[in-house]
Amino acid sequence: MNSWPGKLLRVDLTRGTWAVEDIDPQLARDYIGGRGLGTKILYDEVDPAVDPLGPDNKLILLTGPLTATGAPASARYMAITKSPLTGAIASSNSGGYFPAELRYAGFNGIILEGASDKPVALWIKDGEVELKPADDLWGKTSEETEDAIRDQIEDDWEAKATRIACIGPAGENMARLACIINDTHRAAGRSGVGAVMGSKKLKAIVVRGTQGVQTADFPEFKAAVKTAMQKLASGPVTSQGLPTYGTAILVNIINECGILPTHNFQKGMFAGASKISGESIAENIMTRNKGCFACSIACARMTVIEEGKYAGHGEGPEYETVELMGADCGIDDLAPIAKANYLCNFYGLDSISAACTVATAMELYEKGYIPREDAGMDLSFGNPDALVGLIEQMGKGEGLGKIAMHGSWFLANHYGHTELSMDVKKQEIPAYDPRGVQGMGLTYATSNRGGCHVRGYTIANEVLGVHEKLDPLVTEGKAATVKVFQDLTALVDSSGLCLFVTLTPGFGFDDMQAMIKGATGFDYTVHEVIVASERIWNLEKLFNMKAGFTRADDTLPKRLLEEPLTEGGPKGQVCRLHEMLPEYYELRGWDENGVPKPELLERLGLQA
Amino acid sequence: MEIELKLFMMLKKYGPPHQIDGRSRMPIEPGTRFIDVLKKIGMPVEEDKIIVINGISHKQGDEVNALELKDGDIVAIFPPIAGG
Ligand code: SF4
Repeated sequence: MNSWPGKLLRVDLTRGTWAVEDIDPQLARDYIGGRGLGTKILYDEVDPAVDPLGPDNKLILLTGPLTATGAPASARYMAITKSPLTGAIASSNSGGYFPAELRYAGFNGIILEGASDKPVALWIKDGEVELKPADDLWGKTSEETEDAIRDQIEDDWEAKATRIACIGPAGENMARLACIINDTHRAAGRSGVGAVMGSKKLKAIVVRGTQGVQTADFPEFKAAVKTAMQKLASGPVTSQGLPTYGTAILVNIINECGILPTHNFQKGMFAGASKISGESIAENIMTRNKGCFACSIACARMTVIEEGKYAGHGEGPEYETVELMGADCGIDDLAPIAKANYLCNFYGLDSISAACTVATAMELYEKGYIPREDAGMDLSFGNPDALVGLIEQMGKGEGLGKIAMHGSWFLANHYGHTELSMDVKKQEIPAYDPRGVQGMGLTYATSNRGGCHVRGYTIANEVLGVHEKLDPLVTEGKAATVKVFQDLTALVDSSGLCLFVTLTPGFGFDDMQAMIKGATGFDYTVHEVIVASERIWNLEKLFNMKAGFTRADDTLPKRLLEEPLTEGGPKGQVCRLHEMLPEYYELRGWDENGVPKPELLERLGLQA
Repeated sequence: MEIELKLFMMLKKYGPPHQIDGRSRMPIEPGTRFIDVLKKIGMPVEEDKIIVINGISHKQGDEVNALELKDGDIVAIFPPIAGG
């Protein structure tokens, strides 16, 4: 039986060797696991100034102490590395079944270092490890890769039970938007972690495990899980919303609030919103819902486009994807959106960033900055063929896709108009316009991995009123809200749970502490896990500072700071970041330049 | 005077029959408050909901309940939802 902290597999891809290591229990205690522990390992072992796509960068895949334990939504792992998209720390989260299988196979994480000169695949079976040539897999999409690997496994049942994480052609081409796909449809999506895997010529990780996972104090763990489950059962995540309509349930309400990014954030309302909503997905293209390992929320959608030029099938689209490929690109038809989303999964592209990049391309094109001969197609807003066509090119690294596959900033920069890239730290901003929901602006600007909604999802309070309802248009008090959400998220991401558990009224640090304590046997107090979450956030910050980031990077695109929204509730608003940022720094214990003060570092046991 | 009422997901059941998309127009008297609309459609005042009036989301409670509506106001009501 595997327990926590347990073992790490360290693979040297340059030499083709590997070693099994014990995770240091003190580090595990101080950094929880997953995102936190991965950050610590990266910080200690990799120079933050390293070339993200060079052999000296490392890619760390880590589960957390709750992964595969049967705690609610305990399905997740994190991929931590230096991002080729942002140059900052990357930590991308994914669920499905691969993370649990890794723990069943006896490993709580994998450190990938060096780089192979030929394509390889890492095979793991119950503690046995093998690096196999993967020339035959190179060039294949994620789905083809999974199929080809399963074909190599003789026993039918074993083939089915094996779990795979891989890169598609985008990762091989080191597209800065490349993700790591596992279980065909789930993605450690953001910040270009797939490009790092591609730079190491590692095509796939193939895992099969039959060992169970053991918690340190089962009765205590069970009691904590029961309490958390009860809260979950009474909250909106398990009610009709997510299981029935998926995350795209948000389209209508976000549009109603006037913060639905439309035409590359030129507007906040979209006339076709209801056509791309969760209700419309459920009615028109969904075949069934699906969950990750041990998750009763089952927010994922299996969908199909039966016929026509966009025919296909797969999982999704999720809210962010359907919104950004839809409203932000001016498209109100689910068929091309679903198709473009399938293509992202096949080629291994981050669908959020890819969608934003298409929207940026469309605005660049309409303003005449991308010449027609470069575009090779009509890139006007609302053209579904442009969405599908450009994503296909990005996936293959062809045509305009050769530049666009590196993201909106690289594309806009290529044409001399970075002001049209809606990014923070070169990573694309997701599907909420911060001009009408001020706290999200602070979340985006201060996210350690650049433009991202899941580092401090204040929509939960500013719009949905999950824990308490806040006025989205005021800035007062938002610094504190953002900090608490960021810290709780750091803890959840480090534990192996899905962030969606935090969308439960009253779910907080105490629930996390109780479950983690039961699972690990460390006698954590609530105070200790709160301090650990701050430690994780600050260590990420220190990594970024050493990578060259400063206060000037904690900002938003000019459009969101200066051009007011033109309609709906937030009409006339811009994001008033300057009213929140100084207070945020102060609450964090940072100086006015956003540098952690010595007394904070001492309290957290960190060194600059 | 009338308002536009938008009801989402299972809350459509509180709207008139034959509504398209849960949208309907509701004639109101001067001085009609949000709570009066709830009473008129038979939706329990205490039932958890997300309220968006003219594009601004409101905290459920006395303040929004007492809000007086004007001609042309857009009142949207959602069940508790989460996602992201
Ligand atoms: S809530 Fe959705 S994404 Fe999260 S673990 Fe459950 S099914 Fe997976």
